[in-house]
Amino acid sequence: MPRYSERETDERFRLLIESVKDYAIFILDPAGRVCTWNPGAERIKGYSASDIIGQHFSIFYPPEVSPLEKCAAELELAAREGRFEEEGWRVRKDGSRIWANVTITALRDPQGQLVGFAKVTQDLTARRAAEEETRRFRLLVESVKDYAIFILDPTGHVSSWNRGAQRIKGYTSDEIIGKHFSIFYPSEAIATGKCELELELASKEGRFEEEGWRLRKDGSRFWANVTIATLRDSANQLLGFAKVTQDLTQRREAEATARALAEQRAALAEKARIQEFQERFLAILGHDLRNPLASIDMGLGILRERTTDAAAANVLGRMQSSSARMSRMIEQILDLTRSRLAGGLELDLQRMDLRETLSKIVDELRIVHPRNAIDVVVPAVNILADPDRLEQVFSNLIGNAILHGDPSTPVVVRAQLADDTVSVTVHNEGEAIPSEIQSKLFDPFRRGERESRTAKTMGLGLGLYISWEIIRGHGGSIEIDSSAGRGTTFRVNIPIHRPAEK
Amino acid sequence: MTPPKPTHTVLIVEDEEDLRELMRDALLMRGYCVVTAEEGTDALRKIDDLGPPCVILLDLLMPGMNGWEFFDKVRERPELSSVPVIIHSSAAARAPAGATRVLQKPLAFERLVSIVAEYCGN
Repeated sequence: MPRYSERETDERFRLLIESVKDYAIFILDPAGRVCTWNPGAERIKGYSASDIIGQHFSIFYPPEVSPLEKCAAELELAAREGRFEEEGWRVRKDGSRIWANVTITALRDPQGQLVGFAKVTQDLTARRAAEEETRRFRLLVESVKDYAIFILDPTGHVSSWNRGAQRIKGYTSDEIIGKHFSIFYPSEAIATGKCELELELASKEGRFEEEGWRLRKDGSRFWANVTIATLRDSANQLLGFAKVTQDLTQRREAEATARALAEQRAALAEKARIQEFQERFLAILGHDLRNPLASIDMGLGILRERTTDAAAANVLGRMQSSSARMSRMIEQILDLTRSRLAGGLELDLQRMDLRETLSKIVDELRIVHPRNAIDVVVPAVNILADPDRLEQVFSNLIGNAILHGDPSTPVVVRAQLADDTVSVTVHNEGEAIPSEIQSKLFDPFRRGERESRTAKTMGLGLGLYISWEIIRGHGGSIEIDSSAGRGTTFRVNIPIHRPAEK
Repeated sequence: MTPPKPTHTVLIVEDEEDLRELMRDALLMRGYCVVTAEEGTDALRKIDDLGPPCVILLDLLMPGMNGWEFFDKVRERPELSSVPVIIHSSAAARAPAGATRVLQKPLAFERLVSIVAEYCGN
């Protein structure tokens, strides 16, 4: 190891200092004037040696700190304590500012006499900016409320926590830091090793993302979008994982609501489609089938009028009655369709005299069935009802009583008034309706009737069903009582709806 | 050809050809003069040519001018305001208010001739 003389040593120090570029190193005289200048000083402060030597070092301070007083205080402190250090703003020759670490060391001769100060200044502007950026970024992360943003160490333990995490997951940072992140997962996910798998995938791929159920501190579940990003240093060493979790429960609910709405709309559209089909069906039945039937009826009438041949007239008569039956069946099918598919039968309610309607029906039936007796005991009663529809009901019931009853005894039609209801009974003697048929009597297309039908009852088995629908539409009811001893009685109860008393 | 006497003319407005022709035959058999039209515009033209009929038998559901529109036009014209209009339709329930009579299709021959006789006599 070479030995240097003191002089040589001084010389080498001077060379060392003069070659340093990262630090401004210079000497101040006891009054604070610059005595030496190195390349680091020139680079950091912007002054050349000839610019600055002899100047007071207050020139480096920004005006707002009162440079002269501050410099005096610093020197005094350095002289007293031997050393002064601070970080602060300094001004370069061009007026721009640097954040500097400043050390001022008192220089004393062997006798202790103050001979000056060594000043070392380091430019920390870039580091400060980086620190500031980190600080701001941390503030940003911490203040985010809509996302849980936190860091896991390489083994999955929580090492940072933000406000969003607290809000979404319910834990404070004191409660959660150091805990393993599996605490956020439902037990069934933990059992399948999901947590480990996610970290493994994240470290392999650099990133992992999914949506799934997570747990809050209170045990409730929320639907989360989760991103796990791997954190590595420049040497690719795993530092941990950044985890960002968003609570999508409301969005998921909103989506579910939107889906339900869409389904509802589709169902409505389907309903409209069915309704359109029904309307079309009713139109075909009501219009397109009836028109040709009207031609047939009309033609048969004309031919029957013109023919003098008895056999031909007989054929035409049968065709006419078939055609009339077909008309009735179309009416019944229309009624059935309206009652079953198209929002019910329409009723044209008006004030009507029930006795008048019943008398009219009985008079017509007496003409058709001159050999059958029909007794009518009905008081005058004014009700609110659809006269055409009630006519349909009682023609059906009284007609049935004539067809099915004992022809040697009369059919009896009675009406009894109660406070708000009139009960009309249609009674016939004769064979009872079998009890197993009684319960299905008002069903459409009754098998009983269709199987046992004879020429006189031929129909669709819809008459009683439609009667029942009509009475139901009036808010009333039909009851049946039929037994071998007592004969058969249909009781029709209809609300009277008396006009309000004046 | 001399025009038929107005008091004995029946106007049939009906789009279904078979029915229209058979109704015409039925009424001709009873000695009426019969004018037919397959929709409202045609019917109004025939009324202009031949004068008011003694009764109009009117279908409702027709292509072209339908029965409801035709009924309104007839009721707007003073010289036709007293002509009876008998609706004969499968949509009888929706007949316009003010129709003289509303009949549900199908209508048998006997009913047709007896009803027309009520309004036109014979």
